[in-house]
Amino acid sequence: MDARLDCVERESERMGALRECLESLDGPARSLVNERYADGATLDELAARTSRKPSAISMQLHRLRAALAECIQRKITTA
Amino acid sequence: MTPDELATLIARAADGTLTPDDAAHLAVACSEDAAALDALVAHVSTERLLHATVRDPLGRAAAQEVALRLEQERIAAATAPEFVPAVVERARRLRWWPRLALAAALAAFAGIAALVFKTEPVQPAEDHFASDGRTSERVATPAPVAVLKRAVGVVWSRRDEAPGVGAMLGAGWLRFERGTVQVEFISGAQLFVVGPAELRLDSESAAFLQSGKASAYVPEPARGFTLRAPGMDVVDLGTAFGLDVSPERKPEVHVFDGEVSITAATATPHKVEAAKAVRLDGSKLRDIPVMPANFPDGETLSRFADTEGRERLKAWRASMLPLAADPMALLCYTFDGEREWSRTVTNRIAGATPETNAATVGAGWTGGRWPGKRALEFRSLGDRLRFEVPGKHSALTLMAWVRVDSLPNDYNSLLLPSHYVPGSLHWTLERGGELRLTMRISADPGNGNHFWDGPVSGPAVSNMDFGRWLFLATTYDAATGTVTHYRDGKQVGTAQFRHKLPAVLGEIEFGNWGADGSTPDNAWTLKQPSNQRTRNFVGRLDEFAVLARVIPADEIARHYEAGMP
Repeated sequence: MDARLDCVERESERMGALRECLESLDGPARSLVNERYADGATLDELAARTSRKPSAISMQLHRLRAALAECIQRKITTA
Repeated sequence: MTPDELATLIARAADGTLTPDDAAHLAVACSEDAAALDALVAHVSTERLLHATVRDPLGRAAAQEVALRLEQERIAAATAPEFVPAVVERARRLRWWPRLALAAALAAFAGIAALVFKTEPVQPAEDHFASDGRTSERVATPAPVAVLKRAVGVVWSRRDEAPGVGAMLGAGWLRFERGTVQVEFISGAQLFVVGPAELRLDSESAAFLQSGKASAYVPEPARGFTLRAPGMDVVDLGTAFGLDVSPERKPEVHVFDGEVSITAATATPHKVEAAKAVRLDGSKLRDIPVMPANFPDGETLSRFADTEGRERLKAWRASMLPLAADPMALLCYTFDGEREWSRTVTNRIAGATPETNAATVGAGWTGGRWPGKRALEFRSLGDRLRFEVPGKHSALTLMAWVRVDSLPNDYNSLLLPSHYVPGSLHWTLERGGELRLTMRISADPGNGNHFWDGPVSGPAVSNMDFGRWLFLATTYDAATGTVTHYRDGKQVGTAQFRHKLPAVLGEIEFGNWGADGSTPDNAWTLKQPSNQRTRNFVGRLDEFAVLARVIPADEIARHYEAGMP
C-alpha cells in the first residue's frame, strides 16, 4: 500500500511540475497544447487550421514533449 | 537509422499514428540502442501525463479518486455542507495529490456528489436485467471426432471456416490451398495432409480424402482406421501408409510400415505390405516403387512448425510495440521475457511503474502460442493473477489471448474485483461459453438484480474450442453505456448498460475472485451458492491488456491477426 501511495504521489508530483511548465509556455505552443490535449484535435485538424503538413505538427509536438519532459525533470530534481 | 528518422518514429508513437512497419523499425532501433528506448519511454509517458493534466486542469479526477476512497470508508451525510472540508482535510491527511487545493475540491464537488453518492432511488429490476446470479444453458455442440493438432503455413480455402489450432473438429470438411495440417483422431490415428487438399472427417476412425496428399500413422488401438479416396478404401492393418490423390494423376497408396487392405470399386480386397506401393489404374492396382519421402511426416512438420513459430513470434513482438506505446494503455502483460522462477509479471507499457506489475498466485509457466513463448497456466481452484488498475475510466478496452480448457463453473473469471464500488466490473465466461460483462451500480452492501447493470453477453467459446487459442476482447464506452464483445477479432455481441457509470477495476484478479467477504462492500460474495462462489478459470493466458479508450472494431481485428498462433 505504501508503495502504491508513493507511486500516486510521484505521479501527482510530475503532474504538478507539468502544470507549472505549461504556464511558462509562450502563445503558439500554449494554444497548440490546448487544441491538442484539451480539445482533442487530431493532427490533420491541427494541420488544416495552420495550413501545414500533419508531419510538421507531429514534429512540433515532439519538440514540445521533449522540452516539457526536460522541464519536469528540472523541477522535480530541484524541488 | 538517423536521429531525424528516430525522432519521427518516436513522435508517431506518442501521437498514436505508428504503422506496423514503423513499429518494426522502432523495435529494432530500441533493441539496439538503449538511448532510443529511453527517449521513446520519456515521450510516451510525457504524452500520457499531458492527457491527464491538460484534460483535467482542476484536478477533478484527483478529487474523484479521493471521494471514491472516502465513499469506500463509509463517510455519511453525502450532501451535507460539512462534507466539502472533510474531503479536503482527508486529502491533506492522506497526502494524495498534493496539488489538490480547496478550490479544486469545491469546483469538483458537485460533480463528485452526483457521481459517487447517487441520491436517486434505485430502479427495480426488469425481467431482461438478469442479476449476477443467472447463467446461460450449455450450448449443444456436435460430437468431436478429431483435434487439429497443427496447421503449418496453411491457407484455408474459406477463411471464415478456418479452425483454430488445438480446436476439436466435428464430422465435416477441411479444405485448404497450401500448407500442412496434422489431425489427431479420437481413435488415436494421426493424419498429416499436405495442401491443396480436401479432407472430409467422417468419424473417429474414418476420413475421406477427395484430393491432396496424406500420410496416416495408426497405433495399435486405432487399427482398422479407414482412409477413403475416390474409387477406393484403404483400411489400415497396423502402423503407417501414404495416400496421394492428385487431380492430374491416378491415386497411389504407399505403405511404409505394417500392412494395409485396399478395396477398389471393382476389385476384391487387396493387401499391400510394408515398403510396397500401388497405383489405382481404372479398376486395377499396379505395383509401383514406394516413395516415403514424397509424404509428410511428423518430424518434418515439427521442423516447419518451429521455423514458422519463430517467425510469427518475431512478428508478434514487433506488433506489440504500438500497444506498449499507446498513451491510453494502462496495462500490457505479454508473459514474454519473465524469468522461469519469477512470480511477477511485468507491465510492458512504456514508462509503466513497478506498482502496475502483476503477481501470480499458484498459476505457473507453461507453453504459449508459439515455441519459445510462455503463458500462465490456471488449473487449481486457487490459481490467479493479481494486479491493480487505479482510477475511473469513461472508456475501456479489455483484451486477452486465452486457451480455455474447460468451463467448470457457472461463471469463470476473466476479471473479478476484490472490492465493490459503483462501476466495478465482472468480466467472465459463462458455463455455456458466453462472454459476459456486468457492472455494479449500487454503493450499498448486498446483492440482487438492482445492484447490477447488464449482463451484456455474446457467444465466445464452444466445447469445440477447448484447448485452442482464442482472442477475447470487450470494450465499454460510458458516454453511451455501450458494451461490445469480440471473439477472434469479430463482434459477437453488443448492448447498452442503462447506467452510464465510469468503469472501475481497482484491485482485481484474472482467473479468480479475490473478494473475501471481509469488508461491507464484498460481504455479499460469501452468501453466493457454491456453484457461483467458485469462479476459477481453467486454461492458459498468453497476453492481457487494458486500455482507457474504446478500440474500434478494425483495430481489434488487426490485433487479432497479429497475434494469431
